[in-house]
Amino acid sequence: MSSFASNLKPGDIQAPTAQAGTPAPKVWLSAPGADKPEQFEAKDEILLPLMNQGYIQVAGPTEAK
Amino acid sequence: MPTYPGGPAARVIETLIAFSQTKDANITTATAAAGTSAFRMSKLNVDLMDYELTAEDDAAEIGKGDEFATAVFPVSNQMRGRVEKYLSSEIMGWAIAFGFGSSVASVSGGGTKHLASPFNPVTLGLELPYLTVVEQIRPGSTPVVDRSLFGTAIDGFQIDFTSSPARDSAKIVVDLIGTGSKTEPSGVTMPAVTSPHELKASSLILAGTMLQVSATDYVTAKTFVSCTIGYKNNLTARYAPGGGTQAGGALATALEVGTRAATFSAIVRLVNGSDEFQKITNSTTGPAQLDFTGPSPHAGNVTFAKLGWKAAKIDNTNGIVTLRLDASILNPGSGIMSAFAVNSIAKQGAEP
Repeated sequence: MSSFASNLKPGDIQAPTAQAGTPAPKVWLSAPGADKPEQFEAKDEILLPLMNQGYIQVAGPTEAK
Repeated sequence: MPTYPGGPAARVIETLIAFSQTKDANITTATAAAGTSAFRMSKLNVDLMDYELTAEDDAAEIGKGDEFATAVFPVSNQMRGRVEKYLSSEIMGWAIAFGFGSSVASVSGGGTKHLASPFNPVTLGLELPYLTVVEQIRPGSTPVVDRSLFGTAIDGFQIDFTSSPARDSAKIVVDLIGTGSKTEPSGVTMPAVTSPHELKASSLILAGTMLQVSATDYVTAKTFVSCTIGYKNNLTARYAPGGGTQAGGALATALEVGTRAATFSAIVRLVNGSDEFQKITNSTTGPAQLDFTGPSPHAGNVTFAKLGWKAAKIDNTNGIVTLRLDASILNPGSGIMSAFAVNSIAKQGAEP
């Protein structure tokens, strides 16, 4: 089935929460104009709506220069 | 053996070619990474990049006494190019990251997944990430071609899957446009060729209601013949005042996206129960997803969130009755399409 969450709206996006089992990889994204990046689970249905809003991937705080 | 004043003539097959793996700092900076982390690859088409310093003459000007030109004047620098390759996870990741302009890298099953979708010009502007193209023939003390073409962006790409036993079952064509900015000699030491991990049509898996006949997907139903996925940025080179010159010709100050367009077409065998015409009549729309794999963990995916057939034409393919389908790509609100490639490259395009 399509992994593209066509029904996902911006308000549905939540910060990742702890889950049982293997944790999903996480990535740092920055919202347009934001001065601090946020960490999100690297799942298509989470990342794609954010990318559509103009979020871009940035280095995480521990990697930031 | 004969001797030649300029050395023996060069053959196109001697061409070495590499691209920035990650975006350049800006449109006017040839990445230093072209020498250390460049993506060097082979290609199928024989064309070198089409760099041109255009010039105009004064033939139409009044006052010379006749209609014949008396002088030429350099006008502007331009660059276009095309790369054709058998589809691999490496070239696909590069093409979607730079071509869509928005991508995210994450760890995935022993590889790196590069998830990309068309970027949002409302928040990110009209310019895509820029890259550098390096072309060399006999680099060193007696180069025939040795140039670094920076300020280049991907205008579009096309992926084709066909019914074939050969490597050409899956191909990609990438079109490039540049500002014409260049450095000669490039000063770049070519890295080793990046080994491609090819994604063949034989691995194709389909999902989504629009790629089905009688509720069975075309691959499972054994009716799938071929398909073409296309994406075009329709870039326009902007020559703004104050943009500077090179060799007397103006340089583009930006490559801006125009009316972007995604396309999808497919050829499938027409069978009893084929309902494509009915889908057009009913304005049926739905998702379409194509997954393809190479040696683990290398893989690729293209997903259209929503499409509808806008044309279905009965045709023949090698004597078999087929349907030629053309899609309208729709935006359900969350973006028209996405794609990903899983490869062993840590960062591609604008990924940090």
